[in-house]
Amino acid sequence: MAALERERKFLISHKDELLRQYGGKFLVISGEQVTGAYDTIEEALQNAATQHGLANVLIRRPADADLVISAPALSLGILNADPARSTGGTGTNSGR
Amino acid sequence: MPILHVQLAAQGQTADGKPAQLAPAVALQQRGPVVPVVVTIEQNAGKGLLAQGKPLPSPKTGLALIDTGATGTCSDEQSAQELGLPIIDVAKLTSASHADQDCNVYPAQITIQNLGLSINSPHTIGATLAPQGLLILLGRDLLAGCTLFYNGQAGQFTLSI
Repeated sequence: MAALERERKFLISHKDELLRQYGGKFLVISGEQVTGAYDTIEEALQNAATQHGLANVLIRRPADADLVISAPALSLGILNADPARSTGGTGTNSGR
Repeated sequence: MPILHVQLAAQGQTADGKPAQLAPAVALQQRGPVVPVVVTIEQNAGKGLLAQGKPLPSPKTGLALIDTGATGTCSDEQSAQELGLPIIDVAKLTSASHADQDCNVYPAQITIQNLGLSINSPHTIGATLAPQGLLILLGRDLLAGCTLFYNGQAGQFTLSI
């Protein structure tokens, strides 16, 4: 099972209800329970660590979409490309 | 305002296989703008642990590549797990050529050693960086508060925050 799958499913399936109840607060969700609601991510992180230690918990605002990141160097595999062995093409990975 | 000025040094090989010092411009082109960093748990999460009398994860040291192409900051996934950082969300790593990939999100604190400056990175994306000798990719979310000068001809870069 992917990380925090249960928590993410809970957040998505209860989004409207959570929005009504907590508005734009950062929620700390463990399993199918909201264990805290905070104004800032910093407060949420601090209180999540106090309550749950280093256990995995979902911290997200109900209205937030999935976090999306673009890192071409990672996704195109060009971090380990060797310019000295370039073929002149694009996206070539030396496989070093 | 803390300022970090770096000129990279690296060794290569001559045509007959003897070790030779690379010119700074070549070293910077091949290695990229890298800085030594220390990574541990995000400061506020650390405060929460300490309030409960729990120990903080031991920090890890390594190199961070300043990556203006990355929207977000990434940490080596294996290192984040070894640090014991909690997963607090899952992000999608997008690519034009591959299907979106789910990545763990960790709350980290990144200290740029030579700058003596710690930056909280509450949404640090786990990715495979160790094979490239990297611990961190410093993305545009953290660079948003920085000024970066890249002097390719001199093999130097300057970062200020």
